[in-house]
Amino acid sequence: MKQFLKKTFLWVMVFVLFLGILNFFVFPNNENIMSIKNNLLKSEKNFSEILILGNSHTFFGITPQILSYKAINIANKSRKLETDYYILKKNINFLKELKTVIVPISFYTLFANDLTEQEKRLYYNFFELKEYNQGWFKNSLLINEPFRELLNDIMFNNFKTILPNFGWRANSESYVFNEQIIKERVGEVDNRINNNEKIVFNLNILQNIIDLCDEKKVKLLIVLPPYHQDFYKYSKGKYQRKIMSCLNTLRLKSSKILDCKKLEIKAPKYFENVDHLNVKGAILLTKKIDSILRDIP
Amino acid sequence: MLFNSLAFLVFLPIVFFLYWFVFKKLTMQNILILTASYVFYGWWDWRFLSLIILSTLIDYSIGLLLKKTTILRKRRLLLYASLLFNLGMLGFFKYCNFFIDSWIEVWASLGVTMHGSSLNIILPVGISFYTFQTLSYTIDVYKEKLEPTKNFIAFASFVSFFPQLVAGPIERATNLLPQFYKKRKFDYAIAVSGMKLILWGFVKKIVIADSCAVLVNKIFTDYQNESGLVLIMGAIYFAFQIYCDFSGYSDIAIGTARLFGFRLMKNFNYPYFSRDIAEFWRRWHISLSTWFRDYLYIPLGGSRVSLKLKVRNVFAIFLVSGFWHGANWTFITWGGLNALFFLPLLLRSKNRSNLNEVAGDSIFPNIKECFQILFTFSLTTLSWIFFRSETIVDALQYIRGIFEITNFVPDVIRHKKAIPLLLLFIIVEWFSRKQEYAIVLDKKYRAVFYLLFVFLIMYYASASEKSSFIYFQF
Repeated sequence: MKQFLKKTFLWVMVFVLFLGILNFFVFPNNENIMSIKNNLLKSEKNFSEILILGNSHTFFGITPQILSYKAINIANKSRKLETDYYILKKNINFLKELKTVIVPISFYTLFANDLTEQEKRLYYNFFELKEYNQGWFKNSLLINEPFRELLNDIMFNNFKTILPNFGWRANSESYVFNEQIIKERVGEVDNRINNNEKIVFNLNILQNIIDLCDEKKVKLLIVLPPYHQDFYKYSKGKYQRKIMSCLNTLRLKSSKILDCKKLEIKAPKYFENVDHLNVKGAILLTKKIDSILRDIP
Repeated sequence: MLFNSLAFLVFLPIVFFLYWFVFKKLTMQNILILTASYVFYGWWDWRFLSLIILSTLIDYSIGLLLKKTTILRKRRLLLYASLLFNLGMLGFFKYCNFFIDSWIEVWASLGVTMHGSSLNIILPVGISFYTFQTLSYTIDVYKEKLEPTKNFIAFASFVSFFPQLVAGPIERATNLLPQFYKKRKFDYAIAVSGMKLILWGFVKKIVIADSCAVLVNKIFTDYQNESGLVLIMGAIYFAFQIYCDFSGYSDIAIGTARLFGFRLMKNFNYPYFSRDIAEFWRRWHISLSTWFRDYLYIPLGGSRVSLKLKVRNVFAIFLVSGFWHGANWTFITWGGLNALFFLPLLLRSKNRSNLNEVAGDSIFPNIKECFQILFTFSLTTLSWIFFRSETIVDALQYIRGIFEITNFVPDVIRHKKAIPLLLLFIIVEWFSRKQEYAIVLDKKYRAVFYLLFVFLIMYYASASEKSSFIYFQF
């Protein structure tokens, strides 16, 4: 029995050691959109003049190569405003040439729900945000994420090839009207719009971003992303009004608000779907933002 | 509780520790096994524990009553009582709806509409397995092959022994029950072999069977839109899915039992290397085949009867075997097909012509053996199509789809992972075919393989589609 237990223990220890190496040294270095954007931030810290934060609206919608300034797009899908704040707070001192920060404020950002444990874990591991430290058990990728996906990220990763443009990527499909999808999208927002507690929380976060930029003498451009006409029609413009009324409660200091509705990006050929731009739309929007940035003293 | 669950990963070491280090006396160890078995079973649905307990009480009492009486009429009555209870319980829970539906369909085919509705009956997991196990006890006691036990704890532990409770191997009382009377001693070699069996069982279940399952489910669900070649692949995948799923379970069960000092019977012996159907049935689900042989085929006269009765006996054993698997005509057809494949061998007295090891001492089989293996595999795979299909019509349409040559386009991309995996598995099995289990590896490099196996298990286990063992439904 002793020999059996000894050998079993030895095998278990060898395997635990192996898993430990994976958990602490291999998996946190996996390449995915987050880690690639975090590395981009580090590699461009001495050159970047414009930092594009935010969620899918800016991830797909603003392409850095078109801007007249050196810019990087570190936005990511479903990113919450709170996470943007922590990323900015962590990096603003290292970005020596930083002049402008772009943050999108959409129905998603302002009315967003709390971060999930998984979001915190991924941003902790791949964006090194210490604010999201949940203890080793909840931080562990090995324990909490599908082993197969973690390994696939090591073995079959190809994110590098699809994010070559300073963090920007967009699809080239054009918008096709689908009433059901629009209604679902509008319905989602309807469910969130009355969550005042969350709105106040996100407004406070935005105020922190404004204050931080002001303190560091960096301009802040708050962008209200463009939507397809159908979205405005089905939502009857009420979210835009709600967002504007919320923004009016803030002390904007030197920051500017850009409502993209006024930019007249209307044609369906500029949209991938009802609330996201495609490649053509991104190029158009970026050009317009560029001219605005050049006008800001 | 599933073997491939986190709960079992915690459960097994706890029971192992208590068994060898806390409860050292025989009775206490048996009580622990009984308790652990009930927890294991009750994890799924504790209400159905009552059926196991009832079955245990009745067969235990009948065993004792059989000992007390020598009057043949009384003894027969007692045997019938046990058969009636066990088969009645199995019939009610497993076949009630089948008979109601079939009865209505028969009248409907004659133009008479009958109104009836199926009962909402849950099939208790493992009922076919433990019912047959307790029946073997009563029949053996009736035939005076076995002394009835007075030790209720030992008997209850035998009926509900958790490693093989829900999906076999179906143990004979003559083999397993006496092991509960004797103090078990820890044997290092047996425990290590148990660990290896468990590991290999998980590889078969999680890496092979579950990978095949994803493809099989897609192909069999959408068979009308698949090409002939994909349908053939689908049938082959299912052949390996069911083999690896079921034999994987058996390996884990046998391995787990070994950790507690018990020896269970071998349930699979590399069946896909069989050279004829008779050999296949000597190597496939051995515990069930021999059960039917001993308690049905031989009592009916076996093969030492007239030609007419020989045919009847062969069909009886295979049709009942099909019906045992489930209340569906597809299983019965599967049994019937196997009877048809088996019968020519029996009638030409060739059913025991392949008793030696395939390929003997050679590394590879000769051309004749290759042809025989492929032919036998094709026959079994053909019958598996009926086993897997929802209805007989589906099975027939599936087979018809295979022969539609116009649509014979390979779809390699979808199978790029499964095909190499299966080929690798076949190679491993082939070179292990003379061994008790597949992963008897050289000391020099076995550590690498064990780590690789655990790694593969973790990789495949974290797939989004989790599956239970196929034989749980039987």
